[in-house]
Amino acid sequence: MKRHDPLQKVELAAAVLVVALGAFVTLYAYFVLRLGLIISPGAGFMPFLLGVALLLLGASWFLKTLLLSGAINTAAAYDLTGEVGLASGAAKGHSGKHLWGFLVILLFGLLLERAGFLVSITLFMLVWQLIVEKQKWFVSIVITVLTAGAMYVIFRMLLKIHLPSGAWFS
Amino acid sequence: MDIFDGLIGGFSVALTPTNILVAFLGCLLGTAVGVLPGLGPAATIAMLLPTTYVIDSPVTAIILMAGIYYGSMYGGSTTSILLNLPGEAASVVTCIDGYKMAQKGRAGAALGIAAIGSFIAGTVAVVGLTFFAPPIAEFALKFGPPEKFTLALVGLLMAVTLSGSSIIKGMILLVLGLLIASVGLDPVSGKTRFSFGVTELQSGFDFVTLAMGVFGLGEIFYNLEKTLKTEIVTTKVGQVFPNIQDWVRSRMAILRGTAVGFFIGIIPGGGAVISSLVSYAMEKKVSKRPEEFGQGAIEGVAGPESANNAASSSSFIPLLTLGIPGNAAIAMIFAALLIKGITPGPFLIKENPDVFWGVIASMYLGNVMLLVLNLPLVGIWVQLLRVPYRILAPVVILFTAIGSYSIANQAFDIYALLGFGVLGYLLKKLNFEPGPLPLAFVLSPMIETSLRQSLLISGGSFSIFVTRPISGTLIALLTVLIIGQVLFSLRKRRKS
Amino acid sequence: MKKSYEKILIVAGLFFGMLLLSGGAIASEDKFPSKPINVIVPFAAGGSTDLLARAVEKVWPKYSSQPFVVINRPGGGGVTGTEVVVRSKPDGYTIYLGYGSGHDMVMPHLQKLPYDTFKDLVPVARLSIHSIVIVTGAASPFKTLPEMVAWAKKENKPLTAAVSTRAGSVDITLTSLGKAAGINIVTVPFAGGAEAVTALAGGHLTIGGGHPSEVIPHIKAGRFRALAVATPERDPALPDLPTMKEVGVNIANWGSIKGIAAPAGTPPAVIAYYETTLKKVFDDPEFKKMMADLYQPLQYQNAADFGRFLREASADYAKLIKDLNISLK
Repeated sequence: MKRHDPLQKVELAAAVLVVALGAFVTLYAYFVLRLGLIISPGAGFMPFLLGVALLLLGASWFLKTLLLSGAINTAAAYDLTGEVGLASGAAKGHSGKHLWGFLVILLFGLLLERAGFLVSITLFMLVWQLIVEKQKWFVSIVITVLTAGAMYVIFRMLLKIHLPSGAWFS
Repeated sequence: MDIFDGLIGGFSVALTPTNILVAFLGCLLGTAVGVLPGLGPAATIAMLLPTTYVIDSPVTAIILMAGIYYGSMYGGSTTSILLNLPGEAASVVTCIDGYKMAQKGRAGAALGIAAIGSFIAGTVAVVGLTFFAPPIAEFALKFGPPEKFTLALVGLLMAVTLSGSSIIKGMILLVLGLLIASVGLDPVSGKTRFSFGVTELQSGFDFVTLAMGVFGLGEIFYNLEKTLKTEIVTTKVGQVFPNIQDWVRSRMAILRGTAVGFFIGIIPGGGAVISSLVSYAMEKKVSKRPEEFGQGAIEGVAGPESANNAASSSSFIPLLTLGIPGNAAIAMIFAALLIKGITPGPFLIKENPDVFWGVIASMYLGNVMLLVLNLPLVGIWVQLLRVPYRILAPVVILFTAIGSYSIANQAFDIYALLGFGVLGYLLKKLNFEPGPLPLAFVLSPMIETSLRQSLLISGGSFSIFVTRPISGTLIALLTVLIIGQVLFSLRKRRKS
Repeated sequence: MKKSYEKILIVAGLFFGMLLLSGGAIASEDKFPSKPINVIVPFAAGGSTDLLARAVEKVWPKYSSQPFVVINRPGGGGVTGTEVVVRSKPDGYTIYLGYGSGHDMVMPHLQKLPYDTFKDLVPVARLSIHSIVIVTGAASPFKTLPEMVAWAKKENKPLTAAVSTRAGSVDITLTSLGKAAGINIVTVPFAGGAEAVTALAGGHLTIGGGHPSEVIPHIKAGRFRALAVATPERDPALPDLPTMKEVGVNIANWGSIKGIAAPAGTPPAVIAYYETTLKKVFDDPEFKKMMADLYQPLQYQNAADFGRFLREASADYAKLIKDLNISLK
């Protein structure tokens, strides 16, 4: 399989990100956390070493990606999964479901403590079926009632886990 | 002989109808929490602790808790294999080849071999516990800060072998894992690191959140994007049990895993995780088909699963013979026994032989129960893959989100889970094998604190790692391994 | 795409409908307690504070309609769990057990904490004081505290000491012992008492400090030798062991105080409920027996007395830290 350029670009960008993170960690560890003495290493000792390691690793990843582009062995490595990461996504056009999924989970996090456990899981399931999976109303409601009910039984009745009942209602 | 008398006495305690029932309940509950993502044995035992107060007999109480503990080790592999969702650190390794097997329609074989391997490992480890508990416990004490540091280093280097093709990517994840673990209060100096004024960050991240995010949620995001009609994963179920060839390939892996797990599991803190890593690396090394590892090699499931089960049994040794709890779940059992007026430790076997032997006998029994319980379950679990992804995915997400939330009862952990999910998704896009990340995260406190403790003890001299016998041997072994690996890959490169 | 916006609108409408419906039933405020009480222990399971909490948890249902649920939130030497309580609603359903431990009494004088021990928490009752026993491995060349000091001076090298946490009560005791005796004691912090004791049992350090419930089993097993106890009076669990003062080391010592606190702003009626119920627990024979088995002295004090006691202890530690010039490295 021929190497696609987009993936290489993404890899290079990721490598730059790793280098930047390494630089930040190194400086933060050195100036804010402090290294301490070798007899008594301080809070920044380990993070400093890790920051330097990230810098070096990020740089070598960058160079390797740049130099080995098109080389047979890297291409083979990407072939193993049968996908070419981003490239295939771009080619097929992605479904966008993962973005919706992200938002719905975020919403669940915002709701849980306010609306309580039962309301949140019910809404989550309903929204998931309707908006992420674009199911019909009837199917969505049936699935929601069944799964939310089952979860309520498992968490509340069987495991008796302490879960929020909702600040809005008390 | 003393041991046999004791064991017979123990069985007479364990085989009373109440205790059989309790052991069964414990195993059942343990399997259930092992399967449910985000609920670990420690959390479950903590919830059940008040219930054990009303149980009069301390033996019955500990049989219940021990059942939950090793039952959860059995169950832990299930979600790793089916959903790429490791419930606890020791089953991260299982995800790598187990999930690949499931994708190829061999989930049944993977689950079956995990159950059988766990049974063999559990039973052999209990035999070891029966005969050699005291001398082995002394060996565990020899692991001070320098030894723990070198051992964790071994674990980390083994974790790089999980990373498949690219060593650089594996190393990046390793460093990232160590770094994420350093967020929060530094145990040695008491300073806060990388919290930037966010209160929730002061207590750092939890392993369960990280592992479920990077593995489970990342996988779900990836799958969601890939297809407009999400019917993937749930295609093939395949044959339910391992075949003869699977068995032939796995049997030595199970035995090696058992041995590794038994010895490393004794060491307090991190034993089970490191043993699963060492087992995986070992199988990859001795295998005639190392290229299959990471692509669904059954030995990559059989070895580590056996190792972590053997480790869960042998982690009872320091508790029962020295009064030292090796991990959070065992610490709960320790507390429950103390409240009941029983002090685990060197005198337990003399002062409360019924407790000591009763527990051991119940562990023989528990392993049989777990096998009987789990083999038929394999068939049912596999059916889980027939559930349409549009239902399975949101249910799994809810389980992981609630699991994360219940760790500290804060919504922040759901956002953390989401963040790690995005990270896992990006890693998958960039062809990273995520395994080293959660493993480095788990080993990080062990590495860092034991390094700094060692330097405090030695007055700043690194010679402490070389001059002490166990630590020195481990370092020598590591050096030989690394040099061997370098030579091997050089020769391979020259050939090609 | 248009279809899904429609769906979002309907879902939103449904959601607010549910809100209104459930909001209609206004929960009436019942007599305290009307739901289970969460008791945060900022240390790991199996440690001395956890065991104290478990003992109360076991007897509590005899005198209260609601359970006393112990939740372990270890980390940061106790700061993590305490902060959870400080930031929780002051309704009495989240309380803190372990008030007066090292991170409350010692740490504030050495570094800034995310909360104020006295302003953000209100005392409820004192339960016990865990003394600090200074121990050494059975193979070590000294048998008493003066012998240890003489040995350290003769050998002229640092004495390594296992302590449960940095800047905790055990750490401060051993550090100040070193300063007062003129020897170099290097304290090595672990993640809790159990780990520190384990490392000492393995012979990786020379001395260590721990609470009776942590060290007595090892003393009985012949693995440890006790050198002295760091409390003003002898510990009833170890009646033959001299105090530090008796062997000539005169430094302030309060042991590790274990009380209960609630977030600031908790209603006085709730505090009074805890005071009386805990008093009943303390008079229970089963509780007394359990505490004796756990080597924990019964030292009940009501809220007002406990508050005064803590301020006195804190001031004393502040003076000690200043006098001996102790700081975090």
